[in-house]
Amino acid sequence: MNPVIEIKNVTHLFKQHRALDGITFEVASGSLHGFVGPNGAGKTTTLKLICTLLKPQAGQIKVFGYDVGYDVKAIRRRIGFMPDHFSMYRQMTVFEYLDFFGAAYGFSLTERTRIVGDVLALTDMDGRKNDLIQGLSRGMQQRVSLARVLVNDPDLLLLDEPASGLDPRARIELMEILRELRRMGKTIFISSHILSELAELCDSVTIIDRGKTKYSGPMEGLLEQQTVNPIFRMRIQGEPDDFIAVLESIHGVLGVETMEGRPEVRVAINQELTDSNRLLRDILDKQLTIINFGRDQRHLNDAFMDLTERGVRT
Amino acid sequence: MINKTFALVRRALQADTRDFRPHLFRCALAFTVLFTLATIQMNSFSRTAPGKDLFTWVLYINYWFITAAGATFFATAITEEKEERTLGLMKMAGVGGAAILAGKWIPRLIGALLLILIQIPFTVLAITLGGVMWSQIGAAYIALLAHLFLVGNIGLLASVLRPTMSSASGLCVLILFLFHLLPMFARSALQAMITPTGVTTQLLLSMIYLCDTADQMCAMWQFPEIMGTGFNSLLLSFQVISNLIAGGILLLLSWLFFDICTRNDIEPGEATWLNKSRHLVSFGNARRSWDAALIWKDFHYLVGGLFVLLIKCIAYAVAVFVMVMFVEDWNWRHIDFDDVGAVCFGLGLFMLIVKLAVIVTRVYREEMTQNTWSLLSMLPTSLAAIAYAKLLGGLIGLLPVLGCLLVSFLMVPDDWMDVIEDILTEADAFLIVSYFTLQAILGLHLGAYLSVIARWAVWPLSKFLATFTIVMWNVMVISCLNGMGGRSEEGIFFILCCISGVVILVLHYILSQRLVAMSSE
Repeated sequence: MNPVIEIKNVTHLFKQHRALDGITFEVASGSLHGFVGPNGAGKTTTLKLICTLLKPQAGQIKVFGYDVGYDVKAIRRRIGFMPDHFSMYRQMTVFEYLDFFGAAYGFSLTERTRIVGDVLALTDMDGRKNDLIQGLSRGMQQRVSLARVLVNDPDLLLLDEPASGLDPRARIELMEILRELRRMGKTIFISSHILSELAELCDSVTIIDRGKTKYSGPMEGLLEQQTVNPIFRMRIQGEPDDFIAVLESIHGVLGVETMEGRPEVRVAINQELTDSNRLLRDILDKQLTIINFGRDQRHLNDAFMDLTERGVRT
Repeated sequence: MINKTFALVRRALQADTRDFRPHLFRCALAFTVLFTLATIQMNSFSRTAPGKDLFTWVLYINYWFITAAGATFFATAITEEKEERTLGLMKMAGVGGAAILAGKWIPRLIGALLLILIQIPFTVLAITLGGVMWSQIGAAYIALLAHLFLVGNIGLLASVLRPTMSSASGLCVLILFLFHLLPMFARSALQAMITPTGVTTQLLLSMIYLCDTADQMCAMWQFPEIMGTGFNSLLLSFQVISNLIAGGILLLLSWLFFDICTRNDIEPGEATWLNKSRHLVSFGNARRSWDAALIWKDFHYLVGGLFVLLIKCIAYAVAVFVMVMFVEDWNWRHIDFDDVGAVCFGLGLFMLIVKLAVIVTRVYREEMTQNTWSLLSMLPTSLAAIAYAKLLGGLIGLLPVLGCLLVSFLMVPDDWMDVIEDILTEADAFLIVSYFTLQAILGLHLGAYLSVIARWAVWPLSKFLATFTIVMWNVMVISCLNGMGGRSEEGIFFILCCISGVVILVLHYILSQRLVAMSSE
């Protein structure tokens, strides 16, 4: 698939501070792409460059094949940007706010009526359309923000920390809306600090640190990389002390470790000597009852820490 | 309480010392006084008492500076904390209402006093130049300080009562406007009630006496007496004592209302009472945006929409009626078209400049405070088109003022045509009108620029600073021209027009660059 966003060797300086230092990555069409990095890594700068609010000083950024430095209007017609801060006309009602942006994008009165109705339904805000925005909860306001982003029916959504400050329920509901939007074929580029949700939601991810790309690619690739010896996570009936020695005695098992606070163990194997099928068979042969079994993947948190802490964790 | 107050005062003074802008402003004021001195010296051949002239100038500059500071500098004392939502934090840290009030008010008072103090060397020069005595200078400064205390406390009370800097500033302007003009209008109206009917009741006399007393509280009306030849009154006049007492009462009221008025935090861009009430009476029928969405938004949410325009039209009609009646000694039979035309013209022109200043300083600032400028910048159109559309939406708010000028034109068309003919046929009239028009445009640009670069705390000051700079500049220019004895005025005005045009273009460019930068902040 053609990339929707192509970023090549982009460098951006704010006076003496190098906010971006040659970052390079791509976002595929129709994907839900996570964008992660510590505070000050350059996430918001990258987002502002993509959405044409900043001009790149060096390197190239293309969105839908258009250069952000030159084809600003063509890009803006096809993108929707939700900034990380609450920026709303709080004195307007929800309907007025969306209708205003619809008109600002050049839609006629009839078109606006339909579009605003659609985005209100999608974000489940039609019951609150006549409420003043200032009276809405933070979660509701975030939905209105998302509805505003959708008013011009963008192909690419750029969301900067959309879930920050939301309670768990509002966060889950927001994630559901994003899944629905992906199903509708939108490309979503989401910057967030909530890694567990990104891991669950995104197809691909880019991690940046101090203005440099640390990883960019499929989510699975990130979670599985750097595991030379496959590790399996399993839950076995009985007390770990009773079966750890048994597991360690299986051919090809390199080590077994218990997981603190969980009734599970992690088993590392030498893939030249055994594999998952053989391991399972050997465990069953030892008369142990397996409750669950699966390939152990790293958490996005671990990958993030590994990539951004510059080798502190080895 | 004392420690907490001093902590706040120290923080404010440290910030003031580190920031170069207050120092720059003090230098600018000193330069203004110096320039005034120079122009008076240039004109000294035609003056009998140049020292007195210099000091009178300085006195009136100070008076209006202090009055404007009340509506800006002092009216932001508590509102800046309200808008930044830091009052709650202060209260949680155990800082009480009195400590906050004192801690926010005292640094402002010190700042204003510093501005007055830097002029003292020049006032000594005034004595050397002749025409003014130490006793007059002493009495004038005491009158000014009492005025400062009163105005500072009006600003403080407004900042306690109102939720935002804009509304506090507006309330303060209203109070100061009434303070200066209401007694004069009321006395005139009351005296008119006595004369034609011949009815003189004790109540009327008491009310007239009250108006006289209120007039005596105003320092500005005392200056002619202070600067008069043979001044030999007490330093602690009625004006000084009454200003101090009134200021003290206002300070007490600020303290009493502090807790009640600072219970709830406010958010930027809160709906006004007008908006809320309009929303309630609309019964859920949302207003639909025009196709020109940006114009619609600013017309409805900055200007207030048709309803506010209608209210303003009625208010202007009432104001014109009162002013015409005042001019004609409250005898409606004497009113003619000329009176109405003249009053409409004066009021229209004054309000045109005031409203323009308000619009240009709010139109972009509101987007900045609500963090919405980046959203508008994302629209698929140029930033210039967005900026001009917004301005146009705000300018619709000038319709009542333009209506006022139109009435003036309809009442006295011949006068208007004469003036227009003069402007079009006489070079000096054309140049002078062009120059002052350019000055007004320059002031508007300066106000707009200051409104988008100023820290949140000094935004209302931007209106004042822009006006003050332009007015002072023009006072200097006129003084210089007087000093030159009218030689080659046309040439000078032509050069000044060119300079003003260039400065406007530069400011326009800088403002546009600032708006571009704001979109990515």
